[in-house]
Amino acid sequence: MSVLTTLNTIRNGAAAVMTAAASVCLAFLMLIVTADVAMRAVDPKWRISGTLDYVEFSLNWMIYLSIAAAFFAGQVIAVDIIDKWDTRHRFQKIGQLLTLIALIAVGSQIIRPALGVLEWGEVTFDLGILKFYYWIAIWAGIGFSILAVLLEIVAKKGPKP
Amino acid sequence: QTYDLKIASFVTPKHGMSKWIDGWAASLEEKSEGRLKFEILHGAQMGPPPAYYDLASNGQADITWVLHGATPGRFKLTEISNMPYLFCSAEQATRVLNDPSVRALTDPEHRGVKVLTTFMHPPGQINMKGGPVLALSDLAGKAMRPPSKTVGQLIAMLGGKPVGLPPTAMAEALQKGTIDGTMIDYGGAGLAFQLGPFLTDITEVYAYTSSFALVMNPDSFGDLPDDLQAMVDESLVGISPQIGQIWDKLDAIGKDVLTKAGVNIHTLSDEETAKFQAVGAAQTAGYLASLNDAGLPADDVMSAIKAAIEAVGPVGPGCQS
Amino acid sequence: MTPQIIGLLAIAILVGMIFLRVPVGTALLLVGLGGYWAIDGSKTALYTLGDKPFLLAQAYSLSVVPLFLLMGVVASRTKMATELFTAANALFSNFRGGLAMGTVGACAGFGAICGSSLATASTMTRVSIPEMRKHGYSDAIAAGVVASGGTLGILIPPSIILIIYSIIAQQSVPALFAAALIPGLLLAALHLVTLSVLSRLRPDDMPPVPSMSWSERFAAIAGFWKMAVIFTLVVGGIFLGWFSPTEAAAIGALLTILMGFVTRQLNIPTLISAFKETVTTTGTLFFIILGAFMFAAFMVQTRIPATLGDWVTSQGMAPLAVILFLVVMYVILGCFLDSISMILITVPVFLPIVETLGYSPIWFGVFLVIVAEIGLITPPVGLNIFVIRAQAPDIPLMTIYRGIMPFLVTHIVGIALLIAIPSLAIWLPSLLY
Ligand code: NA
Ligand code: NA
Repeated sequence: MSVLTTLNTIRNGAAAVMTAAASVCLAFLMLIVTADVAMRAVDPKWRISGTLDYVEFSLNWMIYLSIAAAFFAGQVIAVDIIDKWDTRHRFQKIGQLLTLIALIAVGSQIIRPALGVLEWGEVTFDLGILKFYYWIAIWAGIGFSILAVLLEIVAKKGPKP
Repeated sequence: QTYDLKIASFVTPKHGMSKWIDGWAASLEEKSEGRLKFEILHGAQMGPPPAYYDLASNGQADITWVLHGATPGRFKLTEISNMPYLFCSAEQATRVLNDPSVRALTDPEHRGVKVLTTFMHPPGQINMKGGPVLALSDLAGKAMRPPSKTVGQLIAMLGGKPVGLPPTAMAEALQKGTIDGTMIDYGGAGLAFQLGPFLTDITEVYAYTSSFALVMNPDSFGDLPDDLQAMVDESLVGISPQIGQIWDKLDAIGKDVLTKAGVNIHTLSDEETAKFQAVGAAQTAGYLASLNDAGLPADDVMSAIKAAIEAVGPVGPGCQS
Repeated sequence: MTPQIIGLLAIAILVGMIFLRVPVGTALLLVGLGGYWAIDGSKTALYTLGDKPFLLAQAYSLSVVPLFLLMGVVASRTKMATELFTAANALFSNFRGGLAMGTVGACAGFGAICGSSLATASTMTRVSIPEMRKHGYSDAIAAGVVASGGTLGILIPPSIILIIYSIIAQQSVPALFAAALIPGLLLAALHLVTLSVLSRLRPDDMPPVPSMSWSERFAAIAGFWKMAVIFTLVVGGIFLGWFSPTEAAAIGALLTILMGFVTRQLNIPTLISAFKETVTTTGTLFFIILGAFMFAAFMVQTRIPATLGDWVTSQGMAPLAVILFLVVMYVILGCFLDSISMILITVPVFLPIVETLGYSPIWFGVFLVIVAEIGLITPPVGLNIFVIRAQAPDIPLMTIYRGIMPFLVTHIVGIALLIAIPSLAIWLPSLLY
């Protein structure tokens, strides 16, 4: 019982951290675009260099942290055509296991391309930021999602009927 | 036994170069009497432009059309060819880039693939909305979309402000005035991205160009029997003029489309051209120095390119003046 | 087994998995991976699986989705949403189904500025579904009209999907935008007609809201000033060239937040919870989009579109028969693919055939956008449906599916009109260009 409680506390805490981090990225995305527009309205010379790079960077982190946050919050969309609770519960477990398999498959395949980009020394268009920093977001997002589904399988009996 | 090969490109099937690839594949199918069989996926069906190199090296496709500038930093030596004011036409540029002396230095940079051929688009112009660029000072503070990181640097050195944008957003950004202009060649502006209605003035500078390669997965090539390997290799001998001319022809058609859309074409005075070229020379010197510092044989590549330009001579439109 | 058969089998498995409550994103990922594996081997299948997260990270066109989501959530947390609906109701208040009609109008207007169906549907879900439910509309109607109305804006310029088409088909963007305008307005009008018919057939689904006096209407419309200010600034800014439609998403979201603070309808805790909700919804949707990317890569490998193309050519069918065949094919494909993937996969194959038959590529672009957008609202995989489901989790998916059915008929009628009268699309561009 206390182990389960601890696990659920971890889940909720992780969901809060992911959500907060993704929110910061989203707020940054919104503010940098607006600032760029506002500054170039005053004087075209004042536009912020590399806005596209900043947008892509924060968007990328935002998307992947959000995916992890959604998994921690247990918010994944499935079609609920089955009404009987017992059957539904069994199918839910299968769905969780399949999701775990899918995420682990994705996770195992994103290491190599990201390292490849690092080895090639690929950089962004405008500011020359190492592309690798973008791809760490993907590792983090998928990695945390795997953890979230694992915790869900172990810690939670499923939603109340 | 038949050998199935998958060709993939991010460019529309209607492009002249896509059609050349189709024709090349068809001729190999015929010559091999059906032993080679190609499936061709044009139009970015397998992903956006930066994906195409890895598609070939991983074997997801057997042959792909790669834009070196799509992954800045990967092809440092090959991108020397993208420095400003080197070439006057696609034919000249393509013949130089495929010269064995140049290829010997740039092919090793293409790790994990076999380079079938390399080619370049015609040098590009300065395309503006709302007033021509007739002097270097006209570019000061202007928001310009570069087609590559290299051209982005050039814009900054010319006094403009490079604004990174996906190519699909170019028309919209010009229409809304988010950018003042864009650096692209006539074919790209007039045909590929249909920018005619969004532009008012073009300054014909033939200043900069981007390089491409047709690359093949080495295992896919190695799996072919010797006679088919030889057949593929032979099919690529001496094709540079032909490919370059296809691109140069697109240049003329694109220019025509733009003129008909009411875009005014301008040229720079000799004095102003000299100023632009001085900036270009400074960028080239800086880039070569940075590669030399990194221990790369940048000077060797540049000498090979220069020697090949001498040997090929001024061929194609843009080289006459 | 041929790739085509593998493709059809995989589609059957996908549908089965989705109905057995496997999460949609998971089902798309696994079936896409398995199918790719069966056709092209494990190595390339796994490499492709590894590529897709990177592809998702670079999908610039999707960047507007979280920002417009945020704008919608904030608008719904403040009184702005309610006010928008009071105003919409005022416009249509003497019609039965007035709130649903107001939703259609709001969808068309909002979609017009943002150019993304997903963003439109998500904003309108937040804004209008609670209002319709509060006034006794059935969940099916409320969800159906938002899902379907969300597709309208894509035909009214700007439109991301028409820009993508223009590049593959090498057609002029302004001509395509002009061509899509009349069909877009026509489709919006057809939605109003549909609602009017539905309100007579099933009066209980759309109970009458008390009709307003003229002074009440003025008050209602005046109460809508906050949204009106934001809307005017965003739309006006786009047309005056202050910023691009993509940037408008960020500006709209920030303006909505500022307006909420200025009018004291928003405080910091509410804003934080709005961000939280936006993040969770974004994550839910992008996991499905990730799966859709993998499934689309597999569909390319099945060569189903290319095979259908060869078959159509070899049959020597009449042009009209080919077009009707394409409608059926796109609606079926749209059940499993998102609209951008569908256009990338099929245009290179079908555009040459359609052009040979004498249809204008401009017309085909408009045709394609309408049929591709139908895919957003067809079960089982319809992204607009999932947007609604993510934001209104208490409406069962089956109810949403049911609510959408009448609007599928609306879209089909729209397509039929476009086929019967091609000048609906061709006339305006021919006049302008
Ligand atoms: Na629109
Ligand atoms: Na669908």
